[in-house]
Amino acid sequence: MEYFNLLKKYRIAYSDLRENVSISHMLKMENGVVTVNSRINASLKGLRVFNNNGLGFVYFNDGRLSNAFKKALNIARAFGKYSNEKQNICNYKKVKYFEKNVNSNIFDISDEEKIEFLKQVTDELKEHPRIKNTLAVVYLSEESKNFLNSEFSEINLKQHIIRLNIFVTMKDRNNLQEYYYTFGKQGGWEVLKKIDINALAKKVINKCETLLRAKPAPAGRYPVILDPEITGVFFHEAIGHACEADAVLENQSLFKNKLGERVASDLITLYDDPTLPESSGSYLYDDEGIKARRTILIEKGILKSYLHSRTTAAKMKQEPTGNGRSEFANALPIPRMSNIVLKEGGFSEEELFESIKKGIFLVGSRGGVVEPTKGNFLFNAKEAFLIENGKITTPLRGVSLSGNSLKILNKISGVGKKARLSFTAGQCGKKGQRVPVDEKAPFIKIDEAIVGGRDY
Amino acid sequence: MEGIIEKIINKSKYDTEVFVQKNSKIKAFFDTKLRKITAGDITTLTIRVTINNASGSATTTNLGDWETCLRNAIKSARVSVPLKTSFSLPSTQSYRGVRTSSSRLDLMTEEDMIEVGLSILNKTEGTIVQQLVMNKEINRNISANTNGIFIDSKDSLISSEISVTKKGATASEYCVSRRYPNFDFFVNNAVNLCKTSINPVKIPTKKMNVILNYPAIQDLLESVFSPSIWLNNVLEGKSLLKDKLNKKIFSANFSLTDSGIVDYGVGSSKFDVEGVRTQSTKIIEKGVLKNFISDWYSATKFAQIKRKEFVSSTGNSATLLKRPSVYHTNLIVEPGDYSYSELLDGTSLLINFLIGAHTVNPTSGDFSLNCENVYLVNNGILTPVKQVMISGNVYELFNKIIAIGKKPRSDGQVISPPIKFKNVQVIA
Repeated sequence: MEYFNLLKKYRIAYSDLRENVSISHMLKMENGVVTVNSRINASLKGLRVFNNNGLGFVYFNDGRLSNAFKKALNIARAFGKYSNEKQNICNYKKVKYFEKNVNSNIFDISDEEKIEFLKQVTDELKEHPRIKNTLAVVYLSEESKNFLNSEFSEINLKQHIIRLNIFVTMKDRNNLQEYYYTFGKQGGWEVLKKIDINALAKKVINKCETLLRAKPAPAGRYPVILDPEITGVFFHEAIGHACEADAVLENQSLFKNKLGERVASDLITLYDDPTLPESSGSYLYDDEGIKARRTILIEKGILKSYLHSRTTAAKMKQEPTGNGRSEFANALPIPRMSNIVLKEGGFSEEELFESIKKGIFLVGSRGGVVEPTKGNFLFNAKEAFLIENGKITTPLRGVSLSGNSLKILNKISGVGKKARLSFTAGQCGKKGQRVPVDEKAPFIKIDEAIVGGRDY
Repeated sequence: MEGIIEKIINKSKYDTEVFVQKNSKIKAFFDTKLRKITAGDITTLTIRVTINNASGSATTTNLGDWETCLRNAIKSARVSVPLKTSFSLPSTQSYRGVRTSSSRLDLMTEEDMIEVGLSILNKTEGTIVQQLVMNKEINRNISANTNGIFIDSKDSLISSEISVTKKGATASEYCVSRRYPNFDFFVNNAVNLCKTSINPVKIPTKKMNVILNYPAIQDLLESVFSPSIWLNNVLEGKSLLKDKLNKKIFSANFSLTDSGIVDYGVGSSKFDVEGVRTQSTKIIEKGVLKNFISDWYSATKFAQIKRKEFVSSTGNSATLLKRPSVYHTNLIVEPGDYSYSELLDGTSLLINFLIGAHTVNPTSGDFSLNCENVYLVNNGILTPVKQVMISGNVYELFNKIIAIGKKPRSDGQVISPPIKFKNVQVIA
């Protein structure tokens, strides 16, 4: 094989060659009309070398591998010239793994069948008098990865992903509101065939109608209940990213030098788990050839571990955790979460709500951001409701949750009994790279958080 | 590249559009030291075929496999549901000259990028650099169609992002340019913001006048406001600005233009992905909504709704993978009369960064956002403030403009001065 022959020629300290191939099909139907019917076939190779104390990386989709080696070695040489710190990667055993055929149907569905499915979805939605716009999207992809390295590992992985997104926009006088539903997991067309379209359409319409009659939210400090989806996103954004070892090394983590210390109430046990079945955030080997495994991050409030790529593990002299991931072959792997999981607690939903006299219930996530050093965060909820005397009452809109991660971790006073995997096929962005992730969490109660909204 | 495009155009029996981009990139990552440097080339071919008003697209990174790509696009078009508005492809046109590349950027090597990054690190004066990312890219773009368009362009871009910290305070700065930028200005800004954010004070929750400085105004216009002026969103009922043409929507001192022909503008190019020439489009004039921005299809549909013979695309098509698809080029806010020190008169809150604008629902315009590097302003004296949020509705906010600064700055695809707003909800 050319790669192994070139390795012999250049006698490189460490090298890996990754090839990603993504074959995908996206169909979008907007107000009954197909606005997108596109197929993407992307393939790219990325070559990394550690040599002359430096690190060189090049990517290419045409041209010869021998030229890529020369360029990567030149970059490594330049790196070594300007840096007095030797670049290292931790060792790992030789791995041979070849994916068997993926048992799901991605390619053998006609476009007509996919369009008919979208038509059924949008037909169910369009009859509602206040609906101004409907958009339904199906996306199917096959992601293949080939990995070779100078430890003579050869790994071949294949994964099928399916996603369904539905957006509805409703208008009532000057009030325009949008609600969207997102669903995605590993699998093929058979996953979508199981969906009860009628029930799903009713749910989406009901949610958007609720937003239409929702009142602007009060602003201030309140006790809050978070549903599993926004709880999962909170732990992903505010806590999980602080556990990624590159953030720790770059002084961008609240958890630097805190291994073994209490960082949360003892109700909190959190782990990263790339082995959850069917989740789009799961994988068998990371993009550096390390076998995926569950990593406990916080156990009963005590910080136990960081998430590592092979380079951060080498720097911190810790074990790799199988979290070295990259978006595609044009980027270097960095420590990334897979599926963040908050372990269930002992509270029923009723018990969580009944203790709140006046508070806010936040449902679903529109996404969030975290300032990594101080831990200040902001999340926007898809929906929210007032809690009065333990009961869910007035629907609210435009609600965000903000605060400080460490303070909030210690203000969590209740964790629900039932954890739920979101199956939203979420994409997490970091350092210009997006990777699939998911979250599994129960309801939680926070005694006090800053709720952003508009006074009324 | 040209040879393959000619083959595609000659072989296809249907209305066909082609866009090819060759992207060459060097990226260097630093914290207090050099951490990574990556380089590479990607060529992407996108084909869109239209058969009886139904479109299908395909993209490949393997140009040698253009025939499969064309077949996939035809296959998709054959089964797609036709768009309700009939349309043809844009035809040959004359293009305005616009400067989008710089030979200095073209010639920068990996070693040059490292040296620039290290020189920036040397100017961070007592702060600790958390992250510095340097990125340089050169693009060669070709747009062609079966209606005679065959046009190419070249552009260059350099961007740099830094975050620094000192005594618990942090600050970030971002610069992006099609020419070699003033990196001293960029790094000094980050350092000054960081140093002046040390020892912040608490303020109470209340309504007060707010100045949105350059990056904050850019975030709000780009993430929250821009989708409301895309003609496709207006026609699809997803914009609150529907039925508002020639009506007053914002304060009378606010004027906004979208222009793809500003020399060295980050969003400038001589043509969009459909090969339509870019232009300058007046969006808001003295608070009155004048125009939307469009791609070829949205403009055709708009003409038919308005029973006009022809409405030209404004040259704002964003991708061949979606029809319609619209994005702004450079959003330019007309400067006002206020110097920076005049804006700081009286009592107000100066906000440099809004965090999370991308999570806001642009359809309703409602927002509540965290703010960073915030100062309480008292007749020109700035006191750093602890974490605050601002909330409101973007359409209401731009009706409460008190003053617009004199001096614009380019932040990504927005060129705007700072703007002062009246009575904004601030949550401490």
